[in-house]
Amino acid sequence: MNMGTKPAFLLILLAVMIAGCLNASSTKPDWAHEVNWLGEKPDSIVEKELWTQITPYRIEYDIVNITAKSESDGLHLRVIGISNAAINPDVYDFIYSDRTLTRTSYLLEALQVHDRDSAIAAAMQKREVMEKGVTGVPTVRRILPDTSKKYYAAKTLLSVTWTGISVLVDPDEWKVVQVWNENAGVIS
Amino acid sequence: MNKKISLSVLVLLVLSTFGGVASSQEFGVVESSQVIQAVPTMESFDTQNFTKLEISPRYGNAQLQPGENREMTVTIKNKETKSIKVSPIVVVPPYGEYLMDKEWITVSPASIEIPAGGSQKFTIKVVIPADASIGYYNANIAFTDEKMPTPYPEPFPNYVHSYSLSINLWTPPTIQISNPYINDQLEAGKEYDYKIKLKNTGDKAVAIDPKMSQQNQMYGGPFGMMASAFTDDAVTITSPKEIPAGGSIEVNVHIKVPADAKGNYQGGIDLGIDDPSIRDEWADMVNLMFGVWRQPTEAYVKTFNAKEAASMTIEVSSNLGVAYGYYGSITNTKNKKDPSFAVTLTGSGNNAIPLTKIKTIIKGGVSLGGMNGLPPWESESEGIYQEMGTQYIETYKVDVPAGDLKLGIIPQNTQQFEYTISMGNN
Repeated sequence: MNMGTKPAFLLILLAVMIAGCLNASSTKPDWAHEVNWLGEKPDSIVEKELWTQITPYRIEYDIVNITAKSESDGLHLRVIGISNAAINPDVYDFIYSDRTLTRTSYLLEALQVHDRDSAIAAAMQKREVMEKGVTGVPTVRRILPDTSKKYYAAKTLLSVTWTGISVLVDPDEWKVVQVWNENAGVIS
Repeated sequence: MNKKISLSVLVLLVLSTFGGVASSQEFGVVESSQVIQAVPTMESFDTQNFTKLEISPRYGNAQLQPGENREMTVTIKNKETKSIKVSPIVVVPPYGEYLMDKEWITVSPASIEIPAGGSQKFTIKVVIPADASIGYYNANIAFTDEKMPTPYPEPFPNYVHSYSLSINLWTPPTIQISNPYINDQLEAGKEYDYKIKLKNTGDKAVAIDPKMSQQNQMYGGPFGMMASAFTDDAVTITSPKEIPAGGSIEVNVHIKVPADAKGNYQGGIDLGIDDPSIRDEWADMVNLMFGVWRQPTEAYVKTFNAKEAASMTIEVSSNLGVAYGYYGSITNTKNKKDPSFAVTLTGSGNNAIPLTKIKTIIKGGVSLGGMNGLPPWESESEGIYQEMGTQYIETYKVDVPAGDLKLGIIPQNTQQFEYTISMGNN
């Protein structure tokens, strides 16, 4: 490589690197580090729309796996957000049909250990939980605002569930806002 | 005669006086009854003609530290056919642990005429003084003076066109607690050690005084309140007396589970942290929740008869532990161990018949979520696989002679098990 081609090569390399950065930043948000499309890859507009409906909670996704499959009622998408800081992943299901992305299900367990522990600690102070004499480690799941508004307020809540009893915890105040018992239903 | 007339007049006067009193009392009752009739009925509430204003959103909350500020926006749409003057006022409920100062909130514009069908954005600015006490504060922003009618006088009016504002005023805790609870399965007669790590992020040493709390002593069972599996005497706490500035310490919790313990234990360790950011007695509490398990030492024995010498298969399985339960579950309790079995077979004369374990099966239970045994707020998980538990199955093969046989099973790390004895060719 002579002196004339070396600067040109470096310029091309720099241009490629910048283009790569621009491309990455224009599609995925900062909190998603590695995105893997499995199965069909739809139009980029679907991915853009996905990023508006997915948000990790006080955590970042190290890996986001998106599986897409065409069905009779539209394109079915499953998004799994995995964080190294959480034990379990976040799972979302969507259907893309008539240019509309609709979330159909979610199971969000990607939580920091501290948030998970604090939610359990708050739940354990609730009288109904104490009286139930719960044992074992509960599941802790994030409940999105559009679900939470039916039970408390349109904000992120954490659901702490043992067999037969569950409490909704407001993580802004670490207080229990609802209790559900399998025998009595929602009791407060 | 005059005397008689005078007496009669006096009697009439006295009677008329009583009559007047009686009449007054009766009139008073009528007045009271009229007041009751004047109380609006629920039916009349429906006919009240409130000004039609859409307020979006109706509530907001903010988590702020002393000295911080936050702006929120509320949009009001006039659904009337005429313009409406809106002059927001800040109303602080005269109850609650902490009362917000009205001066903390400013709403702009302070007054404006919204034309028919028009919308107006209002900015609510919250400025927290640097010396404000941490706690939960509430206020209402009433955009009109229209109040919700109530059948009886209310101590605090319920404004029809209002925005409810909640402020959680906090300061970051100087002391970070690594684990706010300890939850485990313990075996009777054994000893366990746990560590609670405390980190001081401040620039001053903070005193601590960990001890068993008296606030968290309830324990309930399926048949009501039950005695705890063991008393607080079984728990020993050792700790330094303070956490140095910028340093960390460990609080050691040693539990000696009595050999006769059974059931559950629920308690708490009050860390006694001298930190002003801790605003309630629960904030520096480490909850303890233990289930006590006793490992059986004697085998369960099933006696049965083989009518003829045959090839036999014995299958032993743990219960399908639910995800939230004991051993054999997908929980990550510290002392979780996989279930297993010590299986023996003896023939006549207590002669041991050697068994050959030919396979171990790990069997899982999976739910598709929804409302199946889950709270209503988790119903949105429908369609996503959720592991509900795991079952461990061991299969043994043996050739047995005819006669009485005894199958012995000692379960390890499971509180329920099942067995199947199959004779003949499989």
